Amino acid sequence: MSVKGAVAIIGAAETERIGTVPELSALELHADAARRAVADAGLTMADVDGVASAGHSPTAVAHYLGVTPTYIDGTMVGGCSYLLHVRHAAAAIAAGSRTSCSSPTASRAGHEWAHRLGSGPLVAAGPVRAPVRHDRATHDVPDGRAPLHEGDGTHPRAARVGGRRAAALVVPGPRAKFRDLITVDDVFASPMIAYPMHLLECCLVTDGGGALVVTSADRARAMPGPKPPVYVLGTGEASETPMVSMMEDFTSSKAFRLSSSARVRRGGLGPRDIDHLMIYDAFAHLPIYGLEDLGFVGRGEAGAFIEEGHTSPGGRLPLNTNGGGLSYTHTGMYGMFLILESVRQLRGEAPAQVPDVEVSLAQGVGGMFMAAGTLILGTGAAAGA
Amino acid sequence: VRHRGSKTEVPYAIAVVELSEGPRMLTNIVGVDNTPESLVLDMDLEVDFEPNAATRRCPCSGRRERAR
Repeated sequence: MSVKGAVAIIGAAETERIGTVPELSALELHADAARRAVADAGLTMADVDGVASAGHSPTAVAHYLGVTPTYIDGTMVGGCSYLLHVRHAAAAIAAGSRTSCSSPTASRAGHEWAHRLGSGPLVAAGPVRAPVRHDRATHDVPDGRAPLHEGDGTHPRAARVGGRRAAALVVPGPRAKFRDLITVDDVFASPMIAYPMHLLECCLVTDGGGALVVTSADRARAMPGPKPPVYVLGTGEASETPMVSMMEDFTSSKAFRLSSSARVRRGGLGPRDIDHLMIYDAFAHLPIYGLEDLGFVGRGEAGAFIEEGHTSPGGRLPLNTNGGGLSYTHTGMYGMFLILESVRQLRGEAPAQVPDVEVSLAQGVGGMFMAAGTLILGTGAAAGA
Repeated sequence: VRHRGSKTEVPYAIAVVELSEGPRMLTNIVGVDNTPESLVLDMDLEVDFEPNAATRRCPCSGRRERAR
């Protein structure tokens, strides 16, 4: 079953505020994001029939929103869960659409079920206020260290992933936590958290959230909203291990390779088709894994690729244009923000807009290389819509 | 090598060791300087046990002595 172009994201929003939002509970952040995403789609909560949520019970989220969902997804495999939610919703919608039941007039039970899948906020990313940064850095030491000991000077380049990103964002978005340019020297001057990760190679710890509204492409066309639909062109998911120490290879993520493989995502698109890239950067080395494991470059080539500016704005593969988990925001589970930046870029409304983005890929990691999700999103032109 | 923490003295070393029987496990390295220069890959180690807060004996790893 292919979901290519059959499903669209028609609403996308972050919470009104991100960063430090002590007065709102996780549930209130969920609700704020969901309401804004539904409004962004030009809908009301009465149009919503499905709810997905990671960590926070989708039942509780739906009830709080006043929604009685007939599609529920509580998949929770870490920060990439939201990418999996989109994949699951797309699969369900695409399966239903074979019987043309996305018609708003469908009323028979089977049709009604599928029709109701047509819209649903994928409510995401509550706040995290626990000091998880250091614990996570500890967990990531094994995967951080191995590639750095292959003797190719990767560590300075890994630092530059963070520095480059900030440096590239000459006019960073006003919502970014870190808006100042971060240099490689800044990175190395920051405190060592867990060798080889300095403070500025570890993600932020912030409050906030985001939400998406997903529906069938047919319905998006029949009921055009205020924003152009962003089409789901390919999706993938995989998990490797519950413990980073059990990775098959510390220098490569099997989950990344599998979730992005053509076999899993079933899309006809390859690395050459991608105009814009989001790779979950809970730590500065993750984009190196993403670039190599997804086949954008060969093994051992990501550091030089970044260093040469190919991932900066103006380069051929702009990467993490929101500032990433390192500079923009990281609510403990950051994957929703990958998708939201891909959507902004494809709509042409990103603060650091890349010209002519037709296809964007978002690669999420869950836990410490435990799981992975891949989404390939495109404009109407890319989807042939 | 973890440099920040609240539960124990820092820095301390976390490593993945491969047992001679094949399985891999996470462990602390004890009795070796907590520096990248001293903590080289593929060190020959042997298991040791340290009491933890629950008075259980927690496995850790130290450099294998030639005489043993």
